Amino acid sequence: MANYVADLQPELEVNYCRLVVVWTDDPASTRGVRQKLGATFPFLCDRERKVIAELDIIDTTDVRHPRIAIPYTFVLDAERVIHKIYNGWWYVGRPTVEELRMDLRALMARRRDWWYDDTPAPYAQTVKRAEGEET
Amino acid sequence: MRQNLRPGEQFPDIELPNHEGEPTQLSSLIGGFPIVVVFSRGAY
Repeated sequence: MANYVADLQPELEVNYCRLVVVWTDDPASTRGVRQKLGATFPFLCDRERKVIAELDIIDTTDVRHPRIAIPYTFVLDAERVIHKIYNGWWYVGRPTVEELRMDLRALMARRRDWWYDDTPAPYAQTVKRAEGEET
Repeated sequence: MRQNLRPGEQFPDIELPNHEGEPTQLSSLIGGFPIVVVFSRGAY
């Protein structure tokens, strides 16, 4: 997760896309970890394993950390439609920063305003009217 | 994993306490833009 903080978080702060971490720690310990990481994205705390049970992604094989999440990553569009699923059970399955950047780019490229349009944006039209120009 | 968790299907609007302990719905974090949801086992 440190790679997301170092390399993806600065981009998320300007590219409008979001990231959220879901895990099974309680909010108090999560605040400490989040602060230590320097993360600004939110964490959600599934202490009761409610969501990971509902999604059926509980790992029952880890005797040292019972009932934690199988490390899936979901990339969703703005309507929560699943674009990509990464199965991180093996470390190599977890998405790199570059893979997430490509996924987010693909989703952002669906936007109607992805390409530059030389029609003045609403704010520019307002400026023109304020200056007394023909609109 | 639940059968309907597949590309093209809608992810559930989960609600959990955030790191401040405030109930938080996934949809409230999205704000009209894509989101990455990471299920993590630890801070590494």
